[in-house]
Amino acid sequence: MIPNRKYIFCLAAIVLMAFTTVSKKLFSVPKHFPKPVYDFSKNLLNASSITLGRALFYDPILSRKNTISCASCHSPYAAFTHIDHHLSHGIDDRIGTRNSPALMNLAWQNSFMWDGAINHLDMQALAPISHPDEMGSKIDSVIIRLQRSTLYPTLFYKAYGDSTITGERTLKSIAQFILCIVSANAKYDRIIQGKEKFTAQEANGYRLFQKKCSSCHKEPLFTNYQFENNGLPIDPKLNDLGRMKISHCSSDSLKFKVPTLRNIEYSYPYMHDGRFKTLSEVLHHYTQGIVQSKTLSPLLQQGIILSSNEKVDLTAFLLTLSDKEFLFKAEYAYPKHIFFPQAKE
Amino acid sequence: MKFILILWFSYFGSKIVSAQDKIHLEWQVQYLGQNVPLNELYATKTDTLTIKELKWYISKVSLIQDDQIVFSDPTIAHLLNIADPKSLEIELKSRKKISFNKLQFCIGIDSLTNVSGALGGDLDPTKGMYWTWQSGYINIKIEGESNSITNRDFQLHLGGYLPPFAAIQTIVLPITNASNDIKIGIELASWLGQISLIGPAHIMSPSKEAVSMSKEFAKQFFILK
Ligand code: HEC
Ligand code: HEC
Repeated sequence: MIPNRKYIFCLAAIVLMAFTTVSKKLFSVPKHFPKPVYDFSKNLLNASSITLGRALFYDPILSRKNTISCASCHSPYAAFTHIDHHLSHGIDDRIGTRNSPALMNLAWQNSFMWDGAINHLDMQALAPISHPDEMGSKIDSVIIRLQRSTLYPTLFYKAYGDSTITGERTLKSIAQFILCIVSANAKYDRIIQGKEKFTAQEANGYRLFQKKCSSCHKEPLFTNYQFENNGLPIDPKLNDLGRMKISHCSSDSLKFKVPTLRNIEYSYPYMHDGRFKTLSEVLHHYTQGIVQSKTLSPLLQQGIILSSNEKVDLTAFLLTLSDKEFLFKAEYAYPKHIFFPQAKE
Repeated sequence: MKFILILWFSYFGSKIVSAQDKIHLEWQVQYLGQNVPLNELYATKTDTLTIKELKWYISKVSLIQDDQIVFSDPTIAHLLNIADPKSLEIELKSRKKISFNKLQFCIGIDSLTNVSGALGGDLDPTKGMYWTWQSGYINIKIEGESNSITNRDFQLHLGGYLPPFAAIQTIVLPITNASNDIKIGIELASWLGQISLIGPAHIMSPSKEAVSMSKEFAKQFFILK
């Protein structure tokens, strides 16, 4: 017997509606943010796959020796970057060549890594899993380990309705979890929403920021997601040419993705190689350290002039981008209840 | 009379497929006209060769009648792997009665699919045909050893979807015989002969050499009688 087509259509519509209302709750766009670029219609959010993704994010099962998890280099308490390491630290204590970026508001980002090597958030996890200095494994071995574990077949069943573990599902679940890492409740956000006011010092810092920084670190995400050369001298040991490695254009030499400045208080050290430990070193770079080169952004060719008082004010403004709630949000934290269901909180 | 002749030609000159018919495509990899054995030493007069791995993507398979696409394969891409003989056969199912005189397909994955995030089936990244340090599918992967190459071993991972190094190739082959079974041959000898001419025997990322080797690969396809 073939069920009535109309009936199937209605059912599909109801299921779809149920999904969209759920996704709205699982992920909401802050009022003062633009539309996300991630295509959620191809990876419908669902609470169980977000949970699965969260487990995967915190589980060293993704690494060859069961020692390194995504959170090893992206700790929630450091705005999802590597605490105190200028170059990331991976398996067998190997040192990578770049500083791990803070993770947040990834649904608005269209390419990933300092040079944009990754074109879609779903594919991001493949890079650290396979990198010999990071997790040192391979996605097919990861799938086998997940299949053999006692935990994951159940989590995949809950998320996808059957316990088949594939690369696609694994990647999409990790993407679902990291998509939900949203920071939009700093003092700055509350001020934009009219709930609070800047101090006089912060207000002056904001004015300076809009004049000198915001064309690259564009509000409200504090990045324009472009690749720019901000005048850092090249480190001859790393000899990192940035975007050029991907685009093969010499005009992209020494350009790196403009990073967000949200939670900058917590995400030190700074720049693609973590060369600066403090914001005052960063400001010193912009005022005194800019190196001229062919690809240097025209915005920085005259250098940036800031008096020492202005630097203090600008820093005060940058600290209004700190979102404490974000650091300690229960939904993003290590999911103890999944790994140790017996343990009491 | 002329009219009847034209009719006759268009009827018998092209393959007619009846409703719900299946068209069976089969790929045969050859070296100097003989089927290529995997992991076995293969000797010719001038060279000894071992192929350890050979996989490539076929996408956008379609059938054409007089420059009109009359059938498009709904599957985005198929991964063909000589270690897995089943993967070398593809069945196309058409609801309509169609006649065609050309087979068209791409070697590799187009840019849209390359930026579409995680995909399943033959496009699942566990298939070993996805670069990890930089997003993108590997279109063609061949690894092996040959006497005519310095250091003997070669390893070509050919792909890339961004200009100027977009490596996808489109192939059109004329179909003249009226059969449901289409056998497509790939001759490796002259292609592998190009390795040392075109560039390094190890290609692992999008590059000029990857594009040239992909273009040459596309020239090696023909319809087997
Ligand atoms: C060994 C440390 C390390 C591990 C483990 C690690 N990462 Fe990273 N992550 C990095 C570094 C370093 C970068 C920047 C690399 C680059 O630009 O080349 C990065 C970049 C990223 C980015 C891009 C951020 C942006 O703004 O462009 C995302 C997303 C990300 N990692 C998620 C993950 C996930 C998910 C995992 C677990 C599967 C993971 N990382 C595991 C160090 C690590
Ligand atoms: C021409 C564009 C541009 C302008 C203007 C600009 N920046 Fe940047 N900024 C960048 C880029 C690109 C990077 C990353 C560079 C790298 O790591 O190689 C960066 C990095 C930073 C970082 C480090 C962030 C991190 O997570 O590592 C801080 C802090 C920063 N900028 C603050 C500022 C301030 C404050 C101003 C204004 C005085 C400013 N920037 C002006 C492009 C710009």
